[in-house]
Amino acid sequence: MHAHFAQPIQAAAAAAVAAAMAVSNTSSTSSTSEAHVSTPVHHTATKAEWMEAIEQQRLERSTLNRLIINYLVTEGFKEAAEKFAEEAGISLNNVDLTSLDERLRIREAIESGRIQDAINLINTKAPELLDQNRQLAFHLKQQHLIELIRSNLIDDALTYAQIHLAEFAEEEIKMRQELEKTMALLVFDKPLESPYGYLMQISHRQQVANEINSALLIYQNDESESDLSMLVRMATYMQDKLDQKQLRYPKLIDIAGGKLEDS
Amino acid sequence: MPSYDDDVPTQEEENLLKQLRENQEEQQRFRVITEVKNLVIGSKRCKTAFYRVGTIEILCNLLQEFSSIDTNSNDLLIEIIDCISSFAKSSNKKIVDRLMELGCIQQLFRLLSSRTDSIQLCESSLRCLRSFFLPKLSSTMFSKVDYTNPFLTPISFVLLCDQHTQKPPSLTTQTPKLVQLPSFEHYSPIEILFEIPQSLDVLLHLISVSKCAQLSIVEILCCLCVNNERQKQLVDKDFIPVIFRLLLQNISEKQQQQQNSKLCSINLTNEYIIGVCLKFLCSLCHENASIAQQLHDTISSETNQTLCEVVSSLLSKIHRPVVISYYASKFFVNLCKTKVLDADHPSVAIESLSTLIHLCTKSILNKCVYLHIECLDTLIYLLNGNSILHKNATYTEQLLNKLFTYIFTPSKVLDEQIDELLLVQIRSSALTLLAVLSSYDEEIKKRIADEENLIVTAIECYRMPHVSLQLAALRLFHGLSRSVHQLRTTFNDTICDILLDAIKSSDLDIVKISSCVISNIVLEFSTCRTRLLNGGILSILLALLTHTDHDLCINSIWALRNLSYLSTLKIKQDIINGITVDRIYSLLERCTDEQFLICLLSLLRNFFDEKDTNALLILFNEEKLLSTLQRLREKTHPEEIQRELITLIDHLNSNNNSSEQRLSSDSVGSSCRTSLFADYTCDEMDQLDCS
Repeated sequence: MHAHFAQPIQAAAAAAVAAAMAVSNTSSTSSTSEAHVSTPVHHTATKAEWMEAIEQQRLERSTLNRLIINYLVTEGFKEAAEKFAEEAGISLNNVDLTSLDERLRIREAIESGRIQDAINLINTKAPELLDQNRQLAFHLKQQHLIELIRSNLIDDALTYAQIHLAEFAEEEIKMRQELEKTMALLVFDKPLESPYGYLMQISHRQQVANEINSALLIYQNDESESDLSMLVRMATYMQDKLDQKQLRYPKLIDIAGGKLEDS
Repeated sequence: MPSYDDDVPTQEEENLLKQLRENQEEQQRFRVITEVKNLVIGSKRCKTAFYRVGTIEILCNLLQEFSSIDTNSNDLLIEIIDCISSFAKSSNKKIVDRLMELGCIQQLFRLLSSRTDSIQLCESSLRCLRSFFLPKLSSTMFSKVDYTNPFLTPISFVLLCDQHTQKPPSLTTQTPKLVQLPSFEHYSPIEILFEIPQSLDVLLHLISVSKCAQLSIVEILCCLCVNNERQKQLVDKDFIPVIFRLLLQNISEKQQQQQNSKLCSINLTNEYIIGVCLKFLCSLCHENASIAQQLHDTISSETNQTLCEVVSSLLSKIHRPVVISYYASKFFVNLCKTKVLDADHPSVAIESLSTLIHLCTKSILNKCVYLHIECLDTLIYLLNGNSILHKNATYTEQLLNKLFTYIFTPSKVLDEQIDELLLVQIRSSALTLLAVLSSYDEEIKKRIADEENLIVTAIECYRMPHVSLQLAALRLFHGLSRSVHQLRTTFNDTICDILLDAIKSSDLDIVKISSCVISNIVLEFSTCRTRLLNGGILSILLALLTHTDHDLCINSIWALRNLSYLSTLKIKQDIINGITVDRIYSLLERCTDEQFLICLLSLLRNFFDEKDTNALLILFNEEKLLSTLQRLREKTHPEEIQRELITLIDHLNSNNNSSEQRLSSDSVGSSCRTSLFADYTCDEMDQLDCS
């Protein structure tokens, strides 16, 4: 587990090093200007130099552990967080484990298709959330509709849409379009294979679960995204910036595996 | 599909509500209320449908019943309160009014006074209370809040959008100084709260219960600052030291949290409390000089720091959430606008100004489109009347370039799709800010006017079906019209036609702004003068002289005054014939409005310039005019009026009517309104130079 999570951190450090080297090596390129076709391609470093620069970055084990715990806590993996904390000798005193538990139960309910249970749990934990965020409320109810269609309860699905989702369709065009796509699933014999089959995928449940998880974190005034996710986004952003300047550098081509491109 | 407005509960829902009405044992009741709550939360249809069958009355009765029971019914009470809280968030005014009629707010305060044993119950009650006070934003706006962005405050910011009366005037066409109280039958929640004895004491007492309670309470307090009277009531209850202490405490906790690298997750509650405390301080001193002074003089008994020092320390960098930086800036803006701080004070001219500019020009810092608009509006509020800041604001091209982007391609403000109404708001605010910036400094004026396609775009904006855009475009023309060079170059026939159209509008604000522009572009050297005269502007201005709106009357006489300056005899005669000599005499004798009188006297002065004195005096009867002016001199009028009178009398008496004896029309005094916006006089702005 340590090796699996360490790579992205090194990758982020690598991207930071690349950005610094790019700026210092290409004095003719302004840091704010866009790359032009006529700008010559500059090499920032060889792969060996790159790896050496990465090795020089001192990242303490405690920092890495904290990043991992932060990820597990933010995503709601309570058991994993507790076990890891125990092994790494980290205290979870400042973490609200009850709240984490609640978010986990909500996530599990959504990912197993028990949307009404999830709604009930959300309304207990965060009674203002679904009133304050119509989009969230819509996505949850849309998912419930999808589950009814998946179970082939067509009459129930039609009634549910009419009673609980019509108001959203009247309010906003995007929601109406989403609802139309969902209702279109009823037309197909094999909805999973239809153009809107992606709604029936398990990944759609996960998408809703992630959305709810982020919203709950913000509702309780926590960071909605783990530091690790932000680092990965930063690494991607910095690589994009370097690419725009047509700079050659050992690009991180597989963030999960920490694989660098041969330069 | 049927509209949910007409819906009544379904059969299943009716069965559930029937169980609610029945007297059952507590556990059963708990289950039923929870089910009702889960149906109501997030559903407009259920709220309306359940309201129609009297569910609110049942809930309020249950609230009352279980509040008075000694047994531990906290869990049940929380369910009831959360359900009522959901109804209170409804955008259906009838539902909220009914809750207030049933005494819900009073009941919540009774509960908060008596049942302080349970923190959860307390927090739930305060959240419910807060729901009554927060503005009911449209569902379109609600659905746009980005919950995945850590730089954005979540619900708190959207719900803490300033009350209508607290907004700078750029977005409100008429800014009422006092809250318009609803009809006698319908109190506002603010009025109800202030009528409850010791309500503020209850809130004060509960502030130490929990951080969640603190957030709710301070958010409510923000909503209470609707006018000077209410602001004073809050100050009298000593909320300033309490909130200051809360601010310091949370800043300290935030710093400790940042220093503690062992933390596995960061909670932003401290930051949100800091933000809301700052917002409260801003609301408290808004347009209230004495409270602003009090805040300025406040010192912490624990740390010996002044409040200004503490707030200034928050401006050393852009914070996350960015509302901290925004409200810290706004605090100094409010102190400046109440004249407690000078405009060139570093906290205003450097810290606040640069922070606001950063927040509305750098989308990497601020990803909230509402906050972009708020920052623009706050800049308008600050810079209007503080021309010494205009150079600072435009020192780099950063602000101006961004404003042009907002106007030309507003959808590129953020990398996301923005609602059309928001795009209109962004454009209006950006145009208005350009108008303010263009109203004083000639170089800035030229820079703005010379921007390719700006004038054409402003003309297009006027032609759009949005009043806010039309007003903003007219304001830009007004700002530019305060320049001899611009009058000779920028104002073309198209703009003239727009103004001739606008002055006949049915919208009073449009008429007023266009009259401000016209009063400048009728001057003798303006390229628009002839077209306006041919378009019948004289008769329009004469008609507006008797308008019920005071500002419009002043603008009209001001415009006539400018029209008469260095004008031909014919035009002067037309003006005199239009007003009539008798009416002029009547106004001289009876008018008590000083602004109007000054304009009238300088109008007369313009009539009797060297070449036309004899021709026009015949119409007036020189003796009668002199004696009327003399009588006027004997009254206790202010200095400007006296000066005008002396000049006029001397001029009429003197045989050597040399030009040196005449004061230039525009050095009369700053009491004649020249400011850009109706509600703000702008003493610092020089008047248009016509000498």
